[in-house]
Amino acid sequence: MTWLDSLTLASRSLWRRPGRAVLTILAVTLGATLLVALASVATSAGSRIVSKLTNGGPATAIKVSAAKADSDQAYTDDLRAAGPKPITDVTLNTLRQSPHVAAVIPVIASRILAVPPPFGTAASPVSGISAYGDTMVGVDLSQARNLPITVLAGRLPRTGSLNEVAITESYIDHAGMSLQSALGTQVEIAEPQAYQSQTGLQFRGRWVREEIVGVVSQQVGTGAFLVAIEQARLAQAWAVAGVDGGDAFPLPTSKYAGIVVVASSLDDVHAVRQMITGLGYANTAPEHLVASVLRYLRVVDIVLAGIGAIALGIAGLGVANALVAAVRERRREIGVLKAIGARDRDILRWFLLEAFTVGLVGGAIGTLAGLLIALWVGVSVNTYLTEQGLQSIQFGDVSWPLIGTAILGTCLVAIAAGVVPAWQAARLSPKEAVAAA
Amino acid sequence: MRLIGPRLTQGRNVARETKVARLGSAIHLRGVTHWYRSGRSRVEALHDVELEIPAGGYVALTGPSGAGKSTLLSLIGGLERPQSGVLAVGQHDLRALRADELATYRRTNIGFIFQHFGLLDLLSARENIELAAALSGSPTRRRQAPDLLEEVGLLDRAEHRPGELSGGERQRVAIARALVNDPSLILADEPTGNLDADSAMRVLDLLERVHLERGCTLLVVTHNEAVARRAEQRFRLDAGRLLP
Repeated sequence: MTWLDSLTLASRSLWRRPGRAVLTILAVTLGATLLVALASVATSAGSRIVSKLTNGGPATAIKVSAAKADSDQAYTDDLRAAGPKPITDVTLNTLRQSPHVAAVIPVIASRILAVPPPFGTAASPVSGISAYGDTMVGVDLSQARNLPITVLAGRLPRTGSLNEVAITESYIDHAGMSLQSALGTQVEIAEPQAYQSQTGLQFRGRWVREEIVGVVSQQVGTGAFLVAIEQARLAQAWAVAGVDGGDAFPLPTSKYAGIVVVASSLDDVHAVRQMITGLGYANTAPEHLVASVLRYLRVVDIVLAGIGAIALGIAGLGVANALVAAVRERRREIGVLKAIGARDRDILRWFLLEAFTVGLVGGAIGTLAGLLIALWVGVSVNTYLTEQGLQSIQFGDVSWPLIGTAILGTCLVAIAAGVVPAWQAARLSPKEAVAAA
Repeated sequence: MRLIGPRLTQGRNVARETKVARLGSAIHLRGVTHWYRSGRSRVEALHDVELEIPAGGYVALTGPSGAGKSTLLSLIGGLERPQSGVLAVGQHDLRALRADELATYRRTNIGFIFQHFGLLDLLSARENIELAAALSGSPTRRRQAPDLLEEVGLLDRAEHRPGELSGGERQRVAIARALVNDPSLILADEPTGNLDADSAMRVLDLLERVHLERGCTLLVVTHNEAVARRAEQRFRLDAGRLLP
């Protein structure tokens, strides 16, 4: 008997009792639905929580400061600085050649004077809006996905751009704008240079007018203006061409204000932080926090998987029950098939394929239903969050591995549930064919 | 092929021997005893049965209910093994065959016809025949299903399921299914038991025609004396013993 013959026999046998078939498939569908919905929501929520903890950057990102590491640095997620320590190109190269390091992204910070619109002819109060001192943070924006930056509106400046800037909500507060109205406006930025004149310390500015292309939340450095590193480098070069500007505009003590180091994996974060601390630099990463949260998420995953497994187990019992009843009903048919030459394995295959069909149909429908439920949960949660003025969370991502695993898993559960009744059927004596009804 | 038991020597059978390609299997039973358990007690279904059925013979087995007719049919058909004695069908010593060898024996040598027809309700008449062919793994035999249906006069009912056929038609489909693997022995267990008189005669005529044309051995178990009288040889079982 070919596989196709067995499959034909299995599918037709299944639909001989449509009520029982529908109920059995429904049980499998419910099990798969619950499992997929829980897994989908848990996975989305888990990844969003970790993303929140790391401010949108990878959980493996480590922020290194141009400061000496305190003796306690190795034991805490927080920055423990003990005086300045310059970061040089040699430091960058050393880190890039270290094991378990996936990326090394330098950060340049420059003090600036910012003037929101409307613009006058000088850096002075115009229409009641004051010019104010802030910091420009420059970073390689082509590596934005490795950085703790979340775009709240608009976009990031283009890599290498000298006239685009993304601002934080701090600038919006200063300028008295709304998040959306700030986009597309311009801001004047003076990059200062101190010099000695006959009358004492004087300042002059290198003025640039930048377009605000995005609003971000960023933890790369302390400053309201995020720009391409090329722009920050020019500002730094202009500043260091002058003299120390004292408390208002001091000369930078380090070429780089900091570095973002990305470890190869979560398991490597601790080793990379130890190496950085060993080089003497203060650093920070939510290493212990993420590990702790991941442990909690793992517990949640186990609980949810347990609930899903129980649901699938009950569905499996439903399949087994239906097949046991089918074997009881079909004793004579099985006997006849064996009498005309069917082998044990032919009967076994017939019943296992019947179980597989139930698992496949129930698993496919259940997986689809589970994804739809996860999507619905996402919409409901986001509606609530939006109503509460909170940032929304994206749920219900279509995960092909999850879909494949769910359908395959359901089929395997159904087949496993069918093994005992199928074996009983296969072991029936062909004498059943001539037994009294 | 080594035949056990004497060939038929009557004129009619000699004549048939010259027409058909081969003769069916001879059946040889020596001291066959078989019992089964019913609760704690042991029930003897057959006791020291001695029986010779010639190759190509047409034999009727009669007896009251519980006489052991179906048990004997099961043993000869390889549905179970006798507990003692010698049972040979053609060149097969059935006591020596393992379970999978018995399945092969049934598939390649035996055509079963049951009182309850034994057709699968979920398959059409054609598919029932094809399924039996599929068990032998022969695509050629599978393609013979329409020819066999034509042979039993049911080609126009090929796509009908058993529930849509009359009792006589179902039994004719069962005969076509029994023939698809070209058996050397046809075992019919009360083939007319569920049929009206007309249908019963048509089924018997068909069985006898098949027996004559194909040369296979035909063993019919029946309560019906009229049916038994049509056989070349008749044996009677009572309380598990073959009566002289």
